[in-house]
Amino acid sequence: MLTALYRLCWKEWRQSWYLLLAALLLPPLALRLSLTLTPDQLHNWEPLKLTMVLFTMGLIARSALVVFPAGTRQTYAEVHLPISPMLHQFLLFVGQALIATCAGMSFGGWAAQQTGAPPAAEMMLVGVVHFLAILFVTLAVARAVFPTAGLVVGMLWAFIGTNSSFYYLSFFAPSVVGEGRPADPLSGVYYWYLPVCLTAALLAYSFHLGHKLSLPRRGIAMGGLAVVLVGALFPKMLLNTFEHQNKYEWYFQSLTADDGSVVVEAGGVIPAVKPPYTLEMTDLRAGHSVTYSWNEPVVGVGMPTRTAVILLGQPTDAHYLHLYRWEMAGNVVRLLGDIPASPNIIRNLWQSSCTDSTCDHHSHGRYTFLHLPSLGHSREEIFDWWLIDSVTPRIQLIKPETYMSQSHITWLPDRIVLTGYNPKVIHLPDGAVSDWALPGEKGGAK
Amino acid sequence: MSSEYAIETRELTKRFGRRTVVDHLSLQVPRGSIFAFLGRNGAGKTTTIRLLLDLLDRNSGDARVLGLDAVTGARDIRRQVGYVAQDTDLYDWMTVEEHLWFCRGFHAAWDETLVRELQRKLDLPDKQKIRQLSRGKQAQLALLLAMAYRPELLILDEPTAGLDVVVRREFLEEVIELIQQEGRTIFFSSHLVHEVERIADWVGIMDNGKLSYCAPLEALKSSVRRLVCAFDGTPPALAGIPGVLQQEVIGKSLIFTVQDYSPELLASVQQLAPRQVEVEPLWLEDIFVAMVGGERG
Amino acid sequence: MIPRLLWKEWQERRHWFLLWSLSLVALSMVGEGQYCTENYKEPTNWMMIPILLALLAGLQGYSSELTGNRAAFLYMRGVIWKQVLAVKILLGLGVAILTAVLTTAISVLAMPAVYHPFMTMKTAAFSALFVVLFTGGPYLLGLCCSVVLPGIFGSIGTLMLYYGGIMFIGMLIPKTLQITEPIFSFIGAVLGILAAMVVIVRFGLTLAWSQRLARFAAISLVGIGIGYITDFTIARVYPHAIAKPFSREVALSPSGRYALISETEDGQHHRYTFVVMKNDKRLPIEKADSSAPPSWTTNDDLVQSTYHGTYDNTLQLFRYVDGHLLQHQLNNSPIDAQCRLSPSPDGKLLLADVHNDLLVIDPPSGSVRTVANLDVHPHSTKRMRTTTYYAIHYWWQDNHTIGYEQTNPSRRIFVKVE
Repeated sequence: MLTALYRLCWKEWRQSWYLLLAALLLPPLALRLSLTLTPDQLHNWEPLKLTMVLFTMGLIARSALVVFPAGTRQTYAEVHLPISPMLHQFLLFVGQALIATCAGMSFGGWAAQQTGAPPAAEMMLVGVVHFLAILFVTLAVARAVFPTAGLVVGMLWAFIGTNSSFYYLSFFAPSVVGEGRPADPLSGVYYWYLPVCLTAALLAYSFHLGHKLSLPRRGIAMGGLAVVLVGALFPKMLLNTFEHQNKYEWYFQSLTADDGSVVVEAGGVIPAVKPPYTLEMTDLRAGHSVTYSWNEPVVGVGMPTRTAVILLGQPTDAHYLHLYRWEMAGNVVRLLGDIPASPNIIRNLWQSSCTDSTCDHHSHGRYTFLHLPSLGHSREEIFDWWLIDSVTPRIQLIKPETYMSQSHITWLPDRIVLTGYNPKVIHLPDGAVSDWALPGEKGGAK
Repeated sequence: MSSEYAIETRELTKRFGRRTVVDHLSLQVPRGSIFAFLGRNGAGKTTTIRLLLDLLDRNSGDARVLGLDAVTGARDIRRQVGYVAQDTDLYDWMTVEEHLWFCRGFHAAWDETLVRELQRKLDLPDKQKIRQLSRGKQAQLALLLAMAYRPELLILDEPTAGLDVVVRREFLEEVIELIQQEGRTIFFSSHLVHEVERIADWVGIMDNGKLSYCAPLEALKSSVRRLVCAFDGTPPALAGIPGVLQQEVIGKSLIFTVQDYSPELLASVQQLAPRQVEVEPLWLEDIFVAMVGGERG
Repeated sequence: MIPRLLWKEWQERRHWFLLWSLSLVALSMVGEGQYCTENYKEPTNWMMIPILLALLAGLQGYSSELTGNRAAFLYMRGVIWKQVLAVKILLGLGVAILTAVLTTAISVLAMPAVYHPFMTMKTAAFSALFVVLFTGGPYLLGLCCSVVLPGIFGSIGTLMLYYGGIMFIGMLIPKTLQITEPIFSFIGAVLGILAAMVVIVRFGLTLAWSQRLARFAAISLVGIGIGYITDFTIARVYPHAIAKPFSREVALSPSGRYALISETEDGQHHRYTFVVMKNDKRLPIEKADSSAPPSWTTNDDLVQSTYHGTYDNTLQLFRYVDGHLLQHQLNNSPIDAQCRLSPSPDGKLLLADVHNDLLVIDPPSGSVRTVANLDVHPHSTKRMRTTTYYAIHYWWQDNHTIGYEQTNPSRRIFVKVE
């Protein structure tokens, strides 16, 4: 047994020694470079990043080609030698796992230095786990359930996985976890999800070697493991799906009147996880305050007058947003109308809604301009522009599926001018949107 | 299933999609025989062999090799069975010496003396890389590897395909010489029937996934005859003559091949009133063509 | 003959075509595909899947012909190279067009009802056109790369070599020679690879792979080289014809009567211009400090920091009076122009919070007075340790009084402004 094991190890070494050496060079090389260069240099030096990605992809591809013959061919050992198939495959994977480990360590260390956060050791661990998952899940699954095309499928996933690894490790913090939450590289998904992938892949492969699944069952197994694989490569999608089931902690970004004399802030228990969601409006000049409670989470839009505030609210899973106007005089809340919206979109609005001037209002307090996440797409930088006339009242979509590249808003009696990149003007009261330019320039302004 | 057979299958079936490649095969290969497994291209020979060696999963039926189940006993079977495939799957990056050393570690019964003797006889240099050997030499090395641990059963799947005549003949002679000395079983598939005839003592013929014939070679050759009947006029239709494998009319002569030839059959033919009847024995190749390629009566 | 060739191509690669098409359809059905209400938008990240599949379909374009002797087999049937190439191109583009039409229709149907007024035939047509470009383009690129090395991995290898080559060429060029708008370099790269494909298909399918690779590399490089030389020449001979990279922002004053233009050239040189909207009069602002963005007061005064040397920047107030831009220095020590400037009810004074000091600014005279320190009790003159007496709100109580709120304990404090 030991003799047989030794001979198999010898074969693996002789076949792939140059690849193993190349892989072993990766971590020290990547770490040396990452220590020598600054994070800015690392981030911006495209040839180096490209070289790393291409080299690693080539390494994984070549090593897989060495140990897994193309098409339906089987190796001499698989056909002739009286050894356990699991032992043979295990040894093949050990060699590949070494390469995957080295690649993961180097990528993790590189990404840690490039982004400057979290510690390099944690990032390297994440990198190793990610690469091993890709290796086992993709190559093992492909080989087990799709033997005739296993190599092509496996290679494709290896390429995709390498790129996704680089992407995720380079932008780990914001890409794995949803907005507004701090990134913890050792949290949830990497603790339980990737080990599940590894275990599932190994079980599938063992079962295949022992029982040789027939085609219908192979198809079912492939479908199930493909779902697992997609989840492994796209943890954010998974987290976003689960996040809707999680508690929503409501925070309220306080609003201040233009002259600073009135403040609207969250009252009651903060953060709130269930109704009531209470706000307090304080007139500092008069020394007087009022409170109001809602049954749904609300975010502030702006203050059209000194003692009035515009708010958005959304019940859980509702396909609309409520638009409210809260007047301090009499502590009255008026529902201006509903705006079609994606369910639970309000959870993404609390942080961004009023941190810039584009959530401003008309000086006479009649109009409100909103840019909300696009109804038709989930892409983060695509918005729908809404114009609300609180007197009529009318809620009007004036420009769908567009960027919000303008950084400055000016409210004029008959129009709203959005300047910055790609300036626009919104004509009042009809809400027509057109290009804006300075006088004397094409499309000259008035 | 009995252990007097080196290979035994019962209703063994393998399908690829809708096509049945091995169709309820029930085969018995006696121990100590040289069994020729014949069939046309695509008859199912290689698939059968791969099923026996657990290189393919079967759809139904049983298969036993040296008394062991082909699936559960696969590892033990490989210790006692030598296999030479049509496409050599040797590690071409190894040298001859390295490959021999590598394989030696897996077989307790490895006979180094035999290996050295064969290596010298086949003129396989130690230091040469396998990818640099000719096809014939690679085939000989594959045979050497298969015989090095003195297997009970040697399975050869068209091992001489693509080799020239001289190499093919040498190959077969080596096989016979070595294995026959020790009374081991050889099971080999080929579509080069004329070569098989020189060495085989049992024959099995596959046709469209089914076993159409299985018996000792001599029995086959003695039971199949070609009859050439000359008539004065137009030859009549063959009626009431059993076991006609093939027939053709050339001028006034009716030529047909029959299985299970007997004096009674000759008497039946005489009743057709031919002017002259000649009975000819056939080579195995002709028998094979008649059985799998001819028009049946 | 063409129908037979089409049939052959379809049989060989139909799985990839169908995957490409179906993935795009699936994206459209879930709203992650194209945009039909705007003329142009960058594709979503999910679009990478059909783009990749289209690329893969193209990468297998000539895989069949390069395997074994199939190229010779095909040409021995009396087929000419143009027919083979045309069929491969047309099939891919046909799939792209049909898919684009289908996905556009699906996107329109799946679109939220409120979007319908913003969708026209023109926007839908452009949307379909961009889908064709975003998938047909990669298909053609893959087809070009498929003529060099056999098999899908050979094609992928060729693509990676091509891509890597372009990246390295682009990055190793010295910065002084870099062209800001490499339009012709891009055109040259595209035409070069197309020309390489045509030449190899015409003359080289039966050559050894090394010879094909050499020709491919040479012709591609020639294309890129010609494009680069063209860009370089234009940049040197007609420097003004190519726009230099710069960013430009305009901020209107609250009444709309004035505007401030902030321009940055090459990420380094900054320029500020005061514009009178009525007559387009443009007045430059000298030595504006780009690290402190300007701000407008509610009565159309511009507050901008100016730079005079290291650690020597001052806050200036600009006011347009009678055709002239008057400038008042507001302070002698550095002030962040981003601080919120709150005018008094009569507009005569400004209130600002700078480093927890409440300042009152008198624009006509330029005087700046500290009226309160928000760290400590207002009657104390000494700075104490950082306390929990941290004020977060301040306002004008009236024209002569400011108020600010301290927390813990919460109380309002009023200070008279002399």
